[in-house]
Amino acid sequence: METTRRAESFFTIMRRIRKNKMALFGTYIVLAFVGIAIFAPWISPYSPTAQDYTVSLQGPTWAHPFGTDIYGRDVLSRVIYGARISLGISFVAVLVSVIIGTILGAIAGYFGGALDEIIMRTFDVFLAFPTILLAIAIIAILGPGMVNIAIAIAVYSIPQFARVSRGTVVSVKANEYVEAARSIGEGKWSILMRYILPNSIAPIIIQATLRMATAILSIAGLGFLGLGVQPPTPEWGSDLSLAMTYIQVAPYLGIFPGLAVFLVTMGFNYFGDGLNDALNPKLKDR
Amino acid sequence: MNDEVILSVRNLKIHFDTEEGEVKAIENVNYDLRKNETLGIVGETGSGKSVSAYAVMGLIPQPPGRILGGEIIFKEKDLLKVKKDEMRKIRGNEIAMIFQEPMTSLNPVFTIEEQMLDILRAHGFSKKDARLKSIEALEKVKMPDPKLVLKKYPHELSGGMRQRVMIAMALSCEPSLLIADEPTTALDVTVQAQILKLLKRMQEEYNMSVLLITHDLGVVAQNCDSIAVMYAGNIVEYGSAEQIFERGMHPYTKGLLKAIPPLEEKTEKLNVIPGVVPNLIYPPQGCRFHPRCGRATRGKCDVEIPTLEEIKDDPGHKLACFNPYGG
Amino acid sequence: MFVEVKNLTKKFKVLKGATGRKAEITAVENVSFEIDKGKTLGLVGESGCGKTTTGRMIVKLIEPSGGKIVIEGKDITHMKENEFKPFRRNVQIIFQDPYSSLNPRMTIYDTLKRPLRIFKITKYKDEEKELIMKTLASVGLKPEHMTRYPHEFSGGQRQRIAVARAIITHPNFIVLDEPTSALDVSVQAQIMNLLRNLKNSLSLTYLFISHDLSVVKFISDQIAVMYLGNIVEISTTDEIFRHPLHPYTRLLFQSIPIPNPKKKIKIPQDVGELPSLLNPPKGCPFYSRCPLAKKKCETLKPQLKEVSPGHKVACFLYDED
Repeated sequence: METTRRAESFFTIMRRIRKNKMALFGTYIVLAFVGIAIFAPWISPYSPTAQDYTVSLQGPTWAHPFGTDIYGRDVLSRVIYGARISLGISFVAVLVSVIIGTILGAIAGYFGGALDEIIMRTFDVFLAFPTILLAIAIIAILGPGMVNIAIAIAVYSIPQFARVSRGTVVSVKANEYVEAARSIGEGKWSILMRYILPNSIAPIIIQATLRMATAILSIAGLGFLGLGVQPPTPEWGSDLSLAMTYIQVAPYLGIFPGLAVFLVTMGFNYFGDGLNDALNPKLKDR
Repeated sequence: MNDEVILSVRNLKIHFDTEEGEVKAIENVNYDLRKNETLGIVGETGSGKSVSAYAVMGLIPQPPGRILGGEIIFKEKDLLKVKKDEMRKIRGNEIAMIFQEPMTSLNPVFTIEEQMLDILRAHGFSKKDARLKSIEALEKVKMPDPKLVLKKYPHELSGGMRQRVMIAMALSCEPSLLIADEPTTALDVTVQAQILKLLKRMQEEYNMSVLLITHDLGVVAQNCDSIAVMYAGNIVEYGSAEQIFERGMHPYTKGLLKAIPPLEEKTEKLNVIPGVVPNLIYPPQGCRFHPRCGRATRGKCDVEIPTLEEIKDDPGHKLACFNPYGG
Repeated sequence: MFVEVKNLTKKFKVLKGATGRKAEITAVENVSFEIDKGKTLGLVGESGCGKTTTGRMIVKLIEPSGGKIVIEGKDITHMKENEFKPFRRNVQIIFQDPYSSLNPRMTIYDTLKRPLRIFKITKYKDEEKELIMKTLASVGLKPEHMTRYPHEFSGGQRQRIAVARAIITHPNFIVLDEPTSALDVSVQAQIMNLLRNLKNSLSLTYLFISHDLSVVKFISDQIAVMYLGNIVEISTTDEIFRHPLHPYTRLLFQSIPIPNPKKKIKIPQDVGELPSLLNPPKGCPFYSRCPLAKKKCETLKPQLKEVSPGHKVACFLYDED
């Protein structure tokens, strides 16, 4: 109940994040990658798919700071464009699962009873599978491709969001303002949309941020296994897989895409943890 | 009561650092507690009444709290200067505290017996003696069926029973000072009456001094020898129960007494103190009560800070006000 | 007669103990009272006596298990939510905790405009804004408060907002569930005066629920004392204060700490605590704590009987039979 007592302003949250060094670090990394993804065409020195066999498998030089791969493609440009793919697919997948998961979870938590049982037990079945296996199974059915990857990630994320949202809604529902809403004749849907959901979003935002990290890891994982985004589209996972083939001649090839996956995942995790602390300040040790 | 002062708080000043700014929670608090005396500290939310008591117990978290000055002299020792280990010893043996919600200070996963034995054994009792002693302590607080209660977990007891257990635990080491922070606020009125009666009896039996912190003027009137009225971090009036309730002179004391709906006569309208308690990040200049005071004079009350001084012709009655009633 | 409650009963299913065995408790048992138009009935009792459940049943936030609720001559007991909706405009409730009774994500304007929209009270935005400003003024708030959120207000101000939300639809009847027990004394006085003034100026009928006898005395014409789900005594305020009859009412009166050091209260011997609702006494609910209990009190339950005009008590001490 404490957490819903105050509507935290955006500025209060930012101030708390700024005090938390790790959260701030995470925020900067996330912002940097979002910037890179958005401005990829302007900041990347080459086209990510342009082949130039004259510079094939070169180490880092001034012309190609991250080196080149077997086809002579600029690794820096591929890492930059890779951010676009990873962040783009993750964002769409997480957004879709937030919307569907939150609404279904909220309905389960708010109406309760048989509806609650049906929705949540169905999701329990999904939750029983390891996420990456579920994703592989879905790709196996639908075939690889950006849209299908987004679907696969969304399918395993929806139950997680449903769980978080159901739990929050059940606790928010116990507030007196919900009873007050009933006493002025608010309908069920109006109570859900105006009173319960707006007070349940904080944990969902935190969950969404942390989910971004897992989604990016999944995309890279699927790419590495050859089930993800197909070449020549620049994608960190498939580039890592390619780099593995040449690990003895050009060990630097794998470093940069790997570092990108590592950094952005860490960034989202720190950012999410920081957001969690900022939105639930009493949980934090002072 | 005799005149031996066992606790003396001098010029205590405590601030808290929060995100919004520095909360000036306690500005200048002074009081003495004599042997066998019950001193009531009464005030509304944000008056600082609890903070001052937590300071005596050495329980102010630092940070965010900052003790900026003053002394807390307990039996000739300044509690603000003693080492942590020594403070812990004093806290167990000589000063005990009971809280508003006993559930927060009882451990839910241990039985009452385990918790009581822990405390007693830490004070050097053998296991067998500790058990006898804990039954005796529960009998003293008029607990029906002490042996059965020992086997129970805190949540199996009612609020009043839990408070009795807390009192039994607090008194098992026979402290000379008991701090009671709103001990009956969470209880029903019929249970409250019994707990307060119990506290009174225990005080007489153990020759204790009691610091009773409450927002309830009825509770202080019924139970305290002396009363300190706090407002926004300062004691505004101090005196015996009679001095406060019959000859109270501070506009805040007066206003508060008249705001209680009377039980004995009919009233159409309650006396109101206008406005709200100030935000102690930005406390008012001068007397902190002046923005809500009907007797405040411009150029005086909003500029100068009144100090707590004894009133002529009324020994022991102290007041911090430039324009008191009857003054 | 404006509100009539007859034999109102509420049973709750609960899980008992660690094994989760199902049990049933009777939170409210055969409660009957009437409130005349423009009058206030004070419902007094300690925690767990069923006073809050009674209040919530009357505004249909909780479904009764038995009995009858009649408001303005209409039996609302078994009305469906959509049938009852027109009554919601006339029957309002104010809650105890102003920190949790206002939606933290809604501005004061949004909080107050919802009842107006739901009951289609105002046609135009200007009209809506004007009514909201007028209502805010009548509870002592300023127009500039409209755009703020609840967390920017103190407890007393929030309770004023809750009062504004309750009166903006011009109801005839308001249930007040401990409206001042979360507030400081000086703020309580402000809210109590406000409630009393509104009652007179808007000719409201109140059911005032509280554990605090002095507050109930200030506002009530009649007082009903509840114990363990039952009304044990009911009478006019003056009469019950002059001649409290039920041993529980007397215990309650004796236990109040009077803010006067010269009038020390005399507390009777230890009378123990409330019995559990899971294991209630068979006879009189007060049997286990009653200093005057007789043999038959253990097995027989006394009924509420009129002992003098308008003064009813449920106790065998006053039952000639």
